[in-house]
Amino acid sequence: MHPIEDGELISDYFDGVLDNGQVNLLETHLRDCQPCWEEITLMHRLDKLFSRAPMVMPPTGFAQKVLARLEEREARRGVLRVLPFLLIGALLLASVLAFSLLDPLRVMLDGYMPLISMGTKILMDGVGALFSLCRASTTALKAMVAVLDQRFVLLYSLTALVVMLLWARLVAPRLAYSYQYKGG
Amino acid sequence: MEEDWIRRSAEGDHGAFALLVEKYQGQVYSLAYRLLGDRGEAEDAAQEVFLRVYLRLKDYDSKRQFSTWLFAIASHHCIDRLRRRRLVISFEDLPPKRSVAVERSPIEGVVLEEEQAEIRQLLLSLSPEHRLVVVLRYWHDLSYAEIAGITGEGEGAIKSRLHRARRILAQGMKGSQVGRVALEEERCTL
Repeated sequence: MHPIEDGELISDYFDGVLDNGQVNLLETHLRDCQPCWEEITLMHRLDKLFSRAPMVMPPTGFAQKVLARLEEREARRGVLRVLPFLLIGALLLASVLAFSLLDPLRVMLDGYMPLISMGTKILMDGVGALFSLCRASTTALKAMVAVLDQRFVLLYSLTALVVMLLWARLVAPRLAYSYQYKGG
Repeated sequence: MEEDWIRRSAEGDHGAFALLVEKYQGQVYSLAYRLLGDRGEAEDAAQEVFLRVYLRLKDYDSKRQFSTWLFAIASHHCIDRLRRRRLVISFEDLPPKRSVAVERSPIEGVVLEEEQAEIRQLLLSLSPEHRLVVVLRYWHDLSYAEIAGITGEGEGAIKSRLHRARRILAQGMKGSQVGRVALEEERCTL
């Protein structure tokens, strides 16, 4: 086998770990074998060429750019983490508003009440199947509508709205951050 | 000190992470540049590597050398980019880029420029896997064991891949002006 075909031998030769005897054998072969001589000569030239090539440096302000991208990505992730909480809040709010609007309508269309109640129940059960929190809210609202106290419904709606806003602003971002970085 | 930066970065301290970036930016950028052959893409890739490092710091095993772990992430990211790029554009279609700006005399500058262009062309003739081994060996001075730690392969495989890469490069050089001149010079010295 030609020495050049022996990857182990050539690697050791370039790493300078061959003993004198092996080096002499290789060099004797190179004097008589033109293809091997050419290839090893070019490999030597490559070694020199690569060793002269400097380490390229990144442009100025590289670290600042990395940090800017990091902060941008964190902000985006924060929004994505909060999104489910906002969605739950929006559904809750929608259910509250739907009942607030449906109640006067129910009074006006008293004769159609069984139909409206059934439709409302189907809608609310569908939502509640996805979000248990929403379902609990729906049940509470149903109870409130049953007593026909519109002031109580309005008070409940406003309280729910405030709680949701506080949740989205104060609690959800902390939960999202904790989830992302503490592996929670 | 580095352990402290790593721990604080994992806890979300951007200041500590900036120190890590400052320390390793040259090596990561250089690796990306030699692998990708394009300064703009290398900068983008190096930034992305550091973002990935930040997000994975909580999984970092402190028994492992940090630089090896970092190079592994950088290498995989750059090779992924090269594989994706293959589907879009032929590497040889890319125009040659200007190389590093270093304070040198005009003649030295021209020589260096030509050498950089030659190196770039030679590296581009290799597959991503061969290129990675060459870059880690020549520009980052890593041992076979360290390269094996980065690529997840055996030392023997790395050794034979480096030899194969050297042969491909030598063959590529043979057809070039630089290669012909090199052989002529060596013949004259015999």
